[in-house]
Formats: sequence, C-alpha cells, structure tokens
Amino acid sequence: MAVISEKSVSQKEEVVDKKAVKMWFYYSFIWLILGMTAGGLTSIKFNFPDFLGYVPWLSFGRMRIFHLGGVAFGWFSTAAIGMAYYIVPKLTGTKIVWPKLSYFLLYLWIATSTIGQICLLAGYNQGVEVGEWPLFIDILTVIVFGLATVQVFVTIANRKQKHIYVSLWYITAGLTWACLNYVVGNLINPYFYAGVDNASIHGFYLHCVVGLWITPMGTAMLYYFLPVITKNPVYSHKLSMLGFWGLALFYPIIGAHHYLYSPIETWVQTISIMSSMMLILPVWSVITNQVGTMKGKWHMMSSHIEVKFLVLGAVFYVITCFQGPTQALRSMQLIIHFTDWVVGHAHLAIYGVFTLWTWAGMYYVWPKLTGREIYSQKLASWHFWLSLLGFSIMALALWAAGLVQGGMLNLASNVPFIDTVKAISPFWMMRSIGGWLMIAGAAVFVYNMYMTAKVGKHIEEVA
Amino acid sequence: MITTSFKGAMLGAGFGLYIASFIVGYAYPAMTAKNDVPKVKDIHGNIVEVRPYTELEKRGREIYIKEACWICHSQFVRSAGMDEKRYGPVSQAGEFAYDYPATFGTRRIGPDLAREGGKRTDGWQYGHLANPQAMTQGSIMPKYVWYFEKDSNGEPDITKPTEDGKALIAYLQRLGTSIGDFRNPEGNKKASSVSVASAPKFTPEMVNSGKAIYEANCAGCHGINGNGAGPAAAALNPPPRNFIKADYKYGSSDVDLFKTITNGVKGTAMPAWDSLTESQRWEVIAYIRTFEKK
Ligand code: HEC
Ligand code: HEC
Ligand code: HEM
Ligand code: HEM
Repeated sequence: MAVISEKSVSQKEEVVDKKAVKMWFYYSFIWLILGMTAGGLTSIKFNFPDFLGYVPWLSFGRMRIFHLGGVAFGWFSTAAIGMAYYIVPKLTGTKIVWPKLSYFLLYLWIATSTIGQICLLAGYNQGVEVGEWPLFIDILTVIVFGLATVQVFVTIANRKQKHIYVSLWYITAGLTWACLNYVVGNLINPYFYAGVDNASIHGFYLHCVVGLWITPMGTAMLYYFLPVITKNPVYSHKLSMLGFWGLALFYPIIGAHHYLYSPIETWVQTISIMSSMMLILPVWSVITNQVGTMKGKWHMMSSHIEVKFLVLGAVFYVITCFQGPTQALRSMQLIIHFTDWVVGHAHLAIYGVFTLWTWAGMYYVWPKLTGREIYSQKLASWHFWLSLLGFSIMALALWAAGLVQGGMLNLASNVPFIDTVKAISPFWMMRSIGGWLMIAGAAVFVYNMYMTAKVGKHIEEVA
Repeated sequence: MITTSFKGAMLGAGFGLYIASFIVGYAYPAMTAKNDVPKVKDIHGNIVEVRPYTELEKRGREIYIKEACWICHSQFVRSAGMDEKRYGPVSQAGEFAYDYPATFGTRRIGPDLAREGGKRTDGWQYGHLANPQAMTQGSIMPKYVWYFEKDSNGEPDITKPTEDGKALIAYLQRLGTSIGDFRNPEGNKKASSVSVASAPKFTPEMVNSGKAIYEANCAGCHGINGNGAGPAAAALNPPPRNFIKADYKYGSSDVDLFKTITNGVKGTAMPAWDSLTESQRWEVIAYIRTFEKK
C-alpha cells in the first residue's frame, strides 16, 4: 500500500496524543527563537567584536556553541521527536504505548537541554563540536533518546497496519542511530580515544549526527507529509527504500572528510571522500520521489503554505547534495575547508532543508492539534518570504566569503591572516542582515502558531 | 507483531551498518595505526619522545576548551596548500597523543595555532589575550579581560594575569614545540647576538612599508601617532616608549633601536620582534623616526 493519506491511515478513533505533540512543539519553539537569536548575536560579533564582549557568559566561543546546541538539539531534535509522536500513531494505527512516558520524557528533556545550554554559557563544555554538553547532560540525553526509541519500537510492534511505510523506517532507524551515535561521540570518544584517533572518531560522530539523525528524521517528515498533503501516492516505494539503504550504507563511513589532509590515515580519508560521492544516490532517490509525488499538484504551491516550504526545502536539498560531494574533493577542501563556505553548507542543510520541512509539517499538523485554522495565511506568507530572502542573502554571503578567504589564504603564503579577515568583513555584515531576516521570519512563525492556538477559527469536525 | 524479516532488517540498518562502519573506518585504524604513541620526528629527523603536559599546561588546555577557542582556531597544519609555509612543519600524529579530546577544530576564523608555541613572547600573548585589537589592528578575537587582575582604573592589567590566564599562555607556548624549535633550527641565539654595524639609508618607500608594519604590530602599545598611549598602554608599567619625545633608555642610534626591537625588553611588555624580517625591522625604525620630527 503505497498510498497514504490521513483518511487511509487514520481511523474512527483518535490515535494521536494531541496534547503531548503540542507540548513538544511548544518547547521546540522556545529553542527555535533562543537558538537562532544566539546565532544572530554571534554574527554581530564578527563585525563588532566588543558587542556583548565583556561578559564571559556572552563571549564569542560560548555563544557560538550555545547557538548550535539551541538549534540542533533544542529546536530540531525536540521538533523531530514531537513529529514522531504524531507520525508513528498515524502510520501504525495505534496509540503510542505508555502515554505518560511522552510527558515524562518531555519534562526530562526540558530539564536536560536547558541545563545543558546553561552549562555551555557558564563555560562547562567537553570540547566536542556538535556534542558540547558536559558528560552528565550527555547521560541524561541518552536516557531521553533511548526511552523514546524503545517507546516507538514497541508501538510499531503493536501496530494495526501491516505495511511498514518508509517514514517508519526512517524514524526507527534515526532514533536508534541517534542513541548509538550519541554514546559513541559523547560518552566513549572524548574519554577513551586521544588525539588523531579522537579527531577521526569525532568526524564520524559529527557526520552521523547530521546524516543519521537529522537527515532521517527530516526525510521521514517529507515522506509522510508530501503524500498526505498532496493526496497523491508516493511515486515509488522501491525508490524510497533504495534511498534508505543508501543512507545507511554510505553515511557512517564519511566522517573523516571533516579532517582531510590531517594525520588521519590517508586510506580512511580516501574512503570518506568516495563515500561522500556515493551519497548522491540516496539524495536523488528522495528528490525523484518528491518530484514524482508532486505530479499534477504543483499548483498547490500557490495556495498551500506547507507545499511552498516542502518544495523550497527540496530545492535546497538538491543544492546541498551537489555541494556536499563537491566540497569533499581534496582540491576543493584545500580552498574551502576552515572557511565560511562550510558554515554556508551547514545552514543550507539544517536550516534550508530540514528546518523548512519541519515547518511545512507543523503548518499542516498544528490545526489538527489545536482544532483551529492557521491564524493568518498572510503572516505565514511573510514567514516564507522572510526566510527565503534572509537565507539567500546569508548563503551567498557565506559562500563568497569562503571562496575569498580560502583563496587568499591558500593560493599565496604571504598574505597576512588579518588581511583576509578584513577582506571578508563586508560579507559578514551581509550574513548578519540575512540572518536577522531569518530570525524575524521564525518569530512571525511562532507568533502565528501561538495565535492559532489562542484565537484561530475553529475547524468544523470532519469525520 | 514485528515480522522476523523486519526485525532482522532493522537490526541490520540500525546496528550493523553503523557498527560495521565504526569498526572498519574508525576503531580498526585507531587500534592499528599507533597514533597514540607519543613520539615524533623532530626537525633534525630524529625520533623523539613527546613529553606529557605539565599541570599548568593541562589547566591551560582546560581553559582553551572552556572558552571554545577551538571554535575559531584549528590546531593542525595540513599536509597541503600553503599551510606549511604559513604555520610551520606539518602536524604529526604523535604530537596529539595526550589530547583528550582532540582540539583539531574545523574552522579558522583566526589562524591555526598548532605551531603557536614560541612564535610570540609571553608579553605579546598577554597583551593580545586582553586586547587583540591593540596587537593586531582589525582583529575580531574577543577580549579575554577576565583572565587579568584589574588595575586602579578598572582596566585589565596585562602584567597581572590570573592563574588561569598564565596557564592558558603556558599551554599556547607549548603547542607544536615537541619537534624542536623549527624557527631557529641551528639553536644559535640569533636574538641575543644581533651584530649589525650600520643602519641602511632610509628611503620614503621604507617609511611607507614601515607604517603598515607599525600599525599592525606596534600601535596597540605605542599609539597610532607614536605618543606611547595605544589602547593597551594604560595598564603597562613601565609604559611603552613615546616616540615623539624619543627619550630612549637603551641607546638612541638606529642600530641601538634595531637591537632593542629584535630582543625586546625583558621584564617589560615590549616583545622581541625577531618574527619580523630584518628589513621589516629597519622599515619600522624608518617610520618611527618620522614621529620625532613632528
Ligand atoms: C572570534 C573568534 C576567536 C576566538 C573565540 C578566539 N580567537 Fe584567537 N584569534 C582570532 C583571530 C581573528 C585572530 C587573528 C588576528 C589577531 O592576531 O588577533 C586570532 C589570533 C590569535 C592568536 C595569535 C596567533 C598569531 O598570529 O600568533 C592567538 C595566540 C590566539 N588567537 C589565541 C586564542 C585563544 C587562546 C583563544 C581562547 C581564549 C582565542 N584565541 C579565541 C579569533 C578568535
Ligand atoms: C605589548 C606592548 C608593546 C608592543 C606591541 C610594542 N612595544 Fe615597544 N615597548 C613597549 C614597552 C612597555 C616599552 C618600554 C620598555 C622600557 O621602558 O623598558 C617599549 C619600548 C620600545 C622602544 C624603546 C626602547 C628604548 O630604548 O627605550 C622601542 C624602540 C620600541 N618599543 C619599538 C617597538 C616596535 C617597533 C614595536 C612594533 C614592531 C613595538 N615596540 C611593539 C611595549 C610594546
Ligand atoms: C534554525 C536555524 C539555524 C540552524 C539550524 C543553524 C545551524 C548552525 C550550524 C549547524 C552551525 C555550525 C556550522 C559549522 O560549524 O560549520 C552554525 C553556526 C553559526 N550560525 Fe547558525 N543556524 C541557524 C540560524 C542562524 C541564524 C539566524 C544566524 C544569524 C546570523 C546564524 C548564525 C550563525 C553563526 C554566526 C555561526 C558560526 C559560524 C562560524 O563558525 O563562522 N545561524 N549554525
Ligand atoms: C550529499 C550529502 C553530503 C555530503 C557529501 C556532505 C559533505 C560535507 C563535507 C565534505 C563537509 C566538511 C566540509 C569541511 O569542513 O571542509 C560537510 C560539513 C557539514 N555538513 Fe555536509 N554533506 C552532505 C549533506 C549534509 C546534510 C544533509 C547535512 C545536514 C543534515 C549536512 C550538514 C553538515 C554540517 C552541519 C557540516 C559542518 C560540520 C562542521 O564543521 O561543524 N551535510 N559536509
């Protein structure tokens, strides 16, 4: 059964615990705003280093890791788990088992992530990029992820639908990988491996966070919401499974591409580059499926805000996945590694693709959770255009800055470092402007969601 | 119930491929490559032992991690491109054998620090840590003023770093030094044995290039117009020299100045400038001289 629609999967009785999903989403909104604002404040420091500079808690290094923790864990991970609590019951036709656990995990996660973030500002970080939270927070994080994983697995075991739709594959695998990977990257690696081995395994961890947690959870959303919203069957279930296995096969081995030309064994670096090339496969399977599924429904882009976000995210996904393999090549690495180019790539993927897809899902789900229509389509439209405009400015500025600085530093050895900093400082200014437009967009979004829940028009019950 | 094939497949995806990749690509090389043996080839080609961190350096490394310096500074010299020319000999695995976790970094908002040890004097490092913009005009590095005692005006006193501040600089001064002093491979103390008989004749071109060198390196202490009152000067005792008054302590001929600039002044914040080439040092003197006439 490749056709999924809310009708075919949902049923007479309500299976989604709406309140739980809503609460997870509310918590993700908080970090969406805090995390992005921290990014915006950090970006101002590139042009005005004294801005908020005399307070240790707000100094550059600490704010920068606070930004990452805020958006990657506070925002995306929270939203993704919330989505799982919506999508899994819909696709299995059963309620999530142990309903109280969804709330308990939320409270535990609120405490964990909030304390973790405060620790970063206070100067307690364990020195692992994208795993900065200190050890005791990591243990709590593993508990939250672990219990959520078990809960989802048992729910699927109790399922009423025999067929396991591709989104379920992605969600179960994503959760499992996230647990394993979090243990490897945060509990084992920093304490048992030194130096070069540590860096190598850190690369592995880092790319598994983006490739085996953020990507599968985001892709699960795309595969669920696209058919449900367009009411078209998924173009090819086989293709979607091919993409899944491609991801599982090629992603974990590419970590060393974060440390090319380092003392890590050359063959490990080479495999990581080859594997990066192969990632084109799973990406194309997702994109082909999206285009196929959209067939005959492109006109929905003008009327449905969620379709707009899905399509724009897909466009960015195509760019990400051309950029990724290209920048993994040694000749490209020479220039763009260590520069703003990579920062552009990171935002393109996590913001441009997965944050946008999450928003698409939320625009669709929120009315179902609250029983009210989206408060203002006009604000939703503002959200879309602010995000698109802001991000375009940011991305172009970062890529230009990366090429300029990378060129200056690596094509000649006699250019003083500080001259390269001065040369790209106008681009940093542009990035800030773009970034603050993005933040404005996100603020509009959160306001719109809040008002929807408060005063949106009631939807007439449809059976 | 979960079908057997589903269960098997899930195990394959979730555990198998992840763990297989980890073992093949990461854990196996980590076991076999002997990256964690603290030995390096030094600048003369001998295999030498890397000494563990001292307590002070260890503390400094903790501060380095705590302030997330690693977000802005990478710590390995790549085996390609201009890295070697720019920063020094390519990094070797043994140099990192004591690093839990590694601070390789993935970003260079500031320069690589893998070979920072010995590049600058402690005095420069303290001045820079407290006020990077004073030392490198246009720098965007934060001012780490909380690693210094406050003077009577509430400004950080760069001659009085806190214990943590000292530890941090001790750590920086140790970075990349286990291969020996590549900046001075013969070990002849060129710094203390400056032997120049006479100064070149100063030309307007020299003054011109001297201006840029001065503004990038000296203005932070000596002031942009040479009055000895640069942004970092307030906290310095003795204060930086005022080049307008030009009452020099250690001899006022060009050759005397050359010696002072090359060696620095021990016990004061005045760094040794052997990092500048000889001709750059002459150029900066040519420029300093222009202050006097005003
Ligand atoms: C905003 C990013 C940023 C952070 C955070 C940062 N730096 Fe820097 N750092 C720079 C830049 C840019 C330069 C180059 C300009 C200059 O000399 O100040 C630099 C230069 C340096 C230098 C001089 C390198 C040379 O030329 O010899 C040292 C040493 C240094 N930083 C140490 C540190 C330490 C220690 C920390 C943490 C306490 C730190 N930095 C945090 C950006 C940063
Ligand atoms: C960290 C601050 C600092 C920086 C940077 C600095 N100086 Fe100095 N300099 C001093 C201080 C302090 C003195 C005073 C030493 C004393 O009174 O013994 C001094 C003294 C001098 C003197 C006078 C020596 C004498 O005989 O009286 C000269 C010449 C000089 N500096 C040149 C330079 C040049 C050239 C540069 C840049 C390449 C430079 N300084 C950078 C702090 C600095
Ligand atoms: C949900 C939205 C966002 C996500 C998911 C996100 C994600 C990230 C990630 C993953 C990084 C690390 C990049 C790397 O190390 O290569 C990063 C860094 C950064 N982000 Fe964001 N970001 C978001 C929004 C913003 C916004 C709105 C701004 C405002 C300008 C911003 C500014 C920055 C800055 C300044 C850095 C540091 C870059 C550097 O190291 O030079 N981010 N962000
Ligand atoms: C086709 C797939 C992709 C390939 C081949 C690829 C390749 C790369 C490479 C080579 C780097 C390192 C660049 C450098 O440091 O010089 C990188 C960095 C990064 N990628 Fe990707 N990428 C891909 C997709 C993605 C996706 C889907 C995401 C997000 C979910 C993502 C997130 C990131 C982030 C956050 C970084 C920055 C890491 C850091 O330094 O902090 N990438 N990618």
